Amino acid sequence: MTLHFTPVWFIAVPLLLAFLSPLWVRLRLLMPILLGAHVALFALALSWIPTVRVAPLLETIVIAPPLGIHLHLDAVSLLLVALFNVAGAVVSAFLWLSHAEPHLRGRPAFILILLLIAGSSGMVLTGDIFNLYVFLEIVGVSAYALTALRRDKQALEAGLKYLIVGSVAAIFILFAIVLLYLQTGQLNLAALARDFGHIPAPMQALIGLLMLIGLAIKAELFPFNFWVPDIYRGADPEITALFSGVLVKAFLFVLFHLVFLLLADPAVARTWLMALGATTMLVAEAVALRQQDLRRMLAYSSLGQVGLITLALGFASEATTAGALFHMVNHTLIKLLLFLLTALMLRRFLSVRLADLQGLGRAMPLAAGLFVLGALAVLGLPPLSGFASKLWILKGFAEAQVFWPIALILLAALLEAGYYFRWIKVFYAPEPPVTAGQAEGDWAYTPLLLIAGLLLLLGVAPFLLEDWFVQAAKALLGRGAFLESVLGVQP
Amino acid sequence: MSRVPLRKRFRVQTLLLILLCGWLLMLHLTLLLNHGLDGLTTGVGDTLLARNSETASANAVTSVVVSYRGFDTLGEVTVLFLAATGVGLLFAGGLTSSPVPRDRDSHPNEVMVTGTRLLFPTLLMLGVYVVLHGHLSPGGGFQGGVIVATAFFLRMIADPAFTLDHARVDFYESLSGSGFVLFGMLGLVLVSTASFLGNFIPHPVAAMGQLVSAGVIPLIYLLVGIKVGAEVGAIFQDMLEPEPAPDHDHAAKEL
Repeated sequence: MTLHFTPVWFIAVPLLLAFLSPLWVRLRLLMPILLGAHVALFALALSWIPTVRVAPLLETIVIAPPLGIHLHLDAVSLLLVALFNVAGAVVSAFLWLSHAEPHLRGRPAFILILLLIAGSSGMVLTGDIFNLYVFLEIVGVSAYALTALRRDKQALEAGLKYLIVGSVAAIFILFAIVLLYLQTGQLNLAALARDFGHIPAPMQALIGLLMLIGLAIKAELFPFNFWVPDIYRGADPEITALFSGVLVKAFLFVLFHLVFLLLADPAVARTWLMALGATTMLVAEAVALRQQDLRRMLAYSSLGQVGLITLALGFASEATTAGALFHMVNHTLIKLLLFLLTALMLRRFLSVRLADLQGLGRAMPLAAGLFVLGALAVLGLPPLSGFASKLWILKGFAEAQVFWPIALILLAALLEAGYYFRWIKVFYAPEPPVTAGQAEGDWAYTPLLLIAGLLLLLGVAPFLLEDWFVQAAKALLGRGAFLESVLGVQP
Repeated sequence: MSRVPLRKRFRVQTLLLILLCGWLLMLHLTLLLNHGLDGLTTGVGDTLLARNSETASANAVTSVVVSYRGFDTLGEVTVLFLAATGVGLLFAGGLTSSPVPRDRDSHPNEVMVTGTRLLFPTLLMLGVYVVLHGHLSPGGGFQGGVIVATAFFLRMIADPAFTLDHARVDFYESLSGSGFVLFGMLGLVLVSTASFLGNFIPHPVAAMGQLVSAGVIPLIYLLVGIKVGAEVGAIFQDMLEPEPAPDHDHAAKEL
């Protein structure tokens, strides 16, 4: 009997902890366990970096692929799993250390947050398309319940809306999976990738379209993201931080993982995906200019960044993909910072409308300072990490002699500067602040300062992770290597 | 009503949307129903069916559900667990400001009471049978668990004084769920299988068709049965009787 550290721990441990939650309630250990689990899984992820650098790790469950389910740990899935667990750790530390409302510290919140992160890790790790759907359901159901957690009118409305939209998206994806199975008789991603080319072309288009609509709804891409601001407005900002930081990233990864695997030549879909990304980015940034509520503004800003990442990933060159993965990490960190700051502001001012936040800089100097830092990082100003990742993406486009995305990205950055400075100007307005809520202790700022430190560190020294991002981009684009590692043959 | 013009009574957009959905459904059904008419396929399903004897489970569906794709089953159990958590979250304390309590003075009619008295033990036994024979005959943990929960649901309707103890339901749910994961992990750490959810109990093919056969499969299905029964029972209870939670008023004020 030996102790195996395998990728299945990323899923089995949170499930076990969630099932045992009545015990933690009795022992009063909910918050320490929530934080400890994510920190431990993050450490576990880091311990695999040397192994995965050599070759992807395949974890067979019961029966070897392509017959059974397997977990596929390569550089890109390891990167995202580590990122998700960091996000989980930051949010749970924030909930533990600050004066969070009781509904955010209870047993339901514990279960839902733990399984949201576990489900997202599962979606990224799994090598089987039906298993992917199961994790998608886990993530979906936890997200719907988390949205409605506060149980007031807005939260319930948002939860109901999310439930309906999310279920419709899930049905689209399920239809696509059913058709894939009927056409190929396979469920393993590598086997599907091998056989997808033999499906008749109209059927390929239908499956692609169903999958694209379902995943675009989930990943919040332009024509399908009408629901996002309402959800982000209705849910608690602590929860929204997880939606923007973890959920969207997991779905974006799934979308591009499937595109790069199933299509032998990703250039077929290049124009479409890039157009989708570019419209998402420009529309969201333009709409964000007019928002009066901080949560809605951040929601549109998040959509804009998702569009940028889609644009860069859709181009599918190694440099833009690596840059996009770096930007994914940055955007998760930045949006965690900004949404958690929103939570603090909401507790102090009881409203996050533009008119009510006059003179916030005097009541909460640290929060305002961190907000400025986060805003500058989104814009991509040196020496913050947003600069390094945007520069990488722009360089990738410039090397390929494609210039229209560069112009659009710079235009979007200008729009971003417009609305972020509009809010910063209000924060430092000379009017005296009108605070109605409680002041927060200094401990609540610890996780936020940690993120701010990471943003600075990654901006000053991007080379620390550069190699990992290049490896991850190669893993994401390397269809041949993926097929070979699972099926043992070169296609 | 009659003054409302016709074009306002029928929303054209809604009608078009319904028509579009109907057309898509027909298209999908046509695709599905026309498939597989030409006989054999060569999908994973057939390969797994051919290899079924290695699990020594007489019911091939069960060996796929619990063994080959047991990881999916663990996920599905988790989805149900999340749904039960969500329902408990939303219904505890009621959604309206003045929750409507279940009317304890209204007595269910005689047919309901007598019928339930007769049906309850039968249903319970059928449920347990379906769970325990999941590896031999059609059925298993999910189906049997729901049958058991239905038996308790009838009891709740027929006898207003009967309620499930929430703490005890939580205990069973927690025990069976963690038992499932622990079985999986035991398969992982034991050298003989070294795979999550591996079948580490000896399961000779000769015993196929007997009650004690197929190794861990019946044990895992039993845990699934307990978990599904407890969760569906808890959902019924939450929907039937919104218990005013003690901290609800407090929470409502904070919002």
